[in-house]
Amino acid sequence: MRLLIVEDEEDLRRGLEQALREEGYAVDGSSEGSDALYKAETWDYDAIVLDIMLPGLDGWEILQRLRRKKKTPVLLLTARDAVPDRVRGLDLGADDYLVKPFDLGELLARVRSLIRRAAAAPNPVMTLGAVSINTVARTIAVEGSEIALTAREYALIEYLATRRGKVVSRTELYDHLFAEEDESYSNLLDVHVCNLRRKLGKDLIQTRRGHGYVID
Amino acid sequence: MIYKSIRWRIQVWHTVLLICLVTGMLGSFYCYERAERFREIDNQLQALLTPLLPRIMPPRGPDFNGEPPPPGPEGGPERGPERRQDAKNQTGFAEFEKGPFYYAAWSPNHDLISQSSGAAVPLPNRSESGKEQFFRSRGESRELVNFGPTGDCVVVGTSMAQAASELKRLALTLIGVGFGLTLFGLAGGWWVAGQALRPIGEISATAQKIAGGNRAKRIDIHETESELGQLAGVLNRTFDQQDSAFEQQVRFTADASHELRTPVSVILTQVQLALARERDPEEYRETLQICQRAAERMRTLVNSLLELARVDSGEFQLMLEECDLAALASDSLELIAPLAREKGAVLRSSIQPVRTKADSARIGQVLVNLLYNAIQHNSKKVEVCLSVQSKGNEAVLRVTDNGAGIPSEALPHVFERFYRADKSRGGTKNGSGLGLAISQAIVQAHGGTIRVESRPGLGADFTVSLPLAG
Repeated sequence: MRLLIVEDEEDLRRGLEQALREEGYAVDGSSEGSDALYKAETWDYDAIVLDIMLPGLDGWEILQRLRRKKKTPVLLLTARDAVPDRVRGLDLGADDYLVKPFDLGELLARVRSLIRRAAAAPNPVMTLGAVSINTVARTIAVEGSEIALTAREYALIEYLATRRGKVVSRTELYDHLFAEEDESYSNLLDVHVCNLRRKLGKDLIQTRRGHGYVID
Repeated sequence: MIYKSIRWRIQVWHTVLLICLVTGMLGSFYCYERAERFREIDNQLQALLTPLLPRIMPPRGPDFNGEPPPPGPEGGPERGPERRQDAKNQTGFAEFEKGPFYYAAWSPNHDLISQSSGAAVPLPNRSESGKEQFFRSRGESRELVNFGPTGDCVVVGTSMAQAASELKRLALTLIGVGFGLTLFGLAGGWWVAGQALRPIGEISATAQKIAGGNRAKRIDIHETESELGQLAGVLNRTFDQQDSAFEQQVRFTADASHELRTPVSVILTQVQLALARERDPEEYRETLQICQRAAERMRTLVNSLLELARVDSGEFQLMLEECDLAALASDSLELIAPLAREKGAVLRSSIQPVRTKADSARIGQVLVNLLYNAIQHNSKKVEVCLSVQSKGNEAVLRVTDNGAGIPSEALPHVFERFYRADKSRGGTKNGSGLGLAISQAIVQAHGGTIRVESRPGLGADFTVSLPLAG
């Protein structure tokens, strides 16, 4: 899952980025309005955490312009807690609203919820035959026994699982699993898929040659 | 207590006045009528008496001069009845036969000479009044008494019964009218008082609503010229002032808490992140440094808020002392120099020695703040100039820069608390948003002024004028 954090307060943005990375997300950051809009329009993020008071374009403007092209889930993050501000944010197309100062745990929960809703998979626990994925605890169990996965492996299986039955291209996977600054090699994905098949069983992830991967 | 209400008090005074007035007027009218009636009757009696006198007592000639007629052979007693007969025959006194009038006449010897039928009049005593002719009331009668020069006496009278009953009827009518007038007046007074006091009731009801929280409510003013209209106007203006002060307070509180949100968010995020799992010492150190920065920012903000609170409550004290503004300016330039170097700003100065009484620490704070703003708000390499000179009886401190300037729509607001020309900046770097408000408070406490001029793109020019000592 790849996220964009837009926040001009340096210390806060870095803290958020780190927290989300530790949760296994690929995270891009931006501290300036037009840069944020460019990134949001260019990449298919799984969710965007957007501050309202920004230099350059403000959060309202970014949201308004982004909604003309994309329906990326947006969590507005702001110090403005007046009801009219919340209403305005939600009416402009924000999917959720969180007022500063917030609790980190709540922010993470809301981001998870946004991503689940966007993937139309509202249940935080997904079951694929013998394999069950707990998206809150970020754990995977095969027939009840937990399997140790790396963050990237987990992100890959979760991404495919939330799009069950849909063929996901390699490009899409790269876009969603790696942030801008992450180093990625063309065969890195194959390595992760190989590892997952070894841990979870051969048939869970199927390859559609020339198209991508799918979980049926 | 309804009896303490103004309406009731007005009503009581009104009642007292009205009763006095009506009683006085109708009483006077009655007295006048009564006197008029008596005068009329008296005139009639007089008119009857005047022709009667010579007929009853014909003048006798010079010998009959106050002396009673001597009794003798040719004396009065024999002639008396004759003369009475005479008089009766001569006059017939027809006017007394019918009608309300009667008469009686006595000789100087107090003998009844003649009287009209049915008149039972006792002989009047001359000492009743010192006069020869006088009116008197006897029982229900009004009589005119005339003593002749010889001591003879004639009384003409009439019954007052009819007049008395007429006067009684008049009195009753007047009492009725007076009662009616009073009632009408009282009702009118109650209504008028109510009308006059109704706006006060409305004002009071409106004020009640405002006190109850409906701050947008105002008194309807129908007649701006009337006293109550003026009162309502004054009250409305007061409400407006209160309201704007309240709004300002609410906005200030909101702004202050808003400014605190970001550093609090930083600390919360950092601490929760650090505690989420084991970290190595370097990571903890970084977390603590970030938290320290956020806490320092909050400290700056809280100090500024406290300073403004002191200004607002009037506890803001200056430590006035003789000081050299030039030295102050040099110190300020020195203080800001590291920041200028870091940002690549060029500092220039044109400083003349000016001595005045001032709080040197505070004025230094103002100068540093102005210099800081000039450097910090301009991203490009800006040239900042500080000049100090005396002009007339003022010390003039100016901070000018050739940076981006201040947008003209922001100019009138730059001294407002938490006002930021760049709305989107919540920012760390731009300070608390209170610097200029505090600077203005300091300068004003010195009796000086602070002004700003700016042309977008050409830089800003802040001028502080302080009165010179002496």
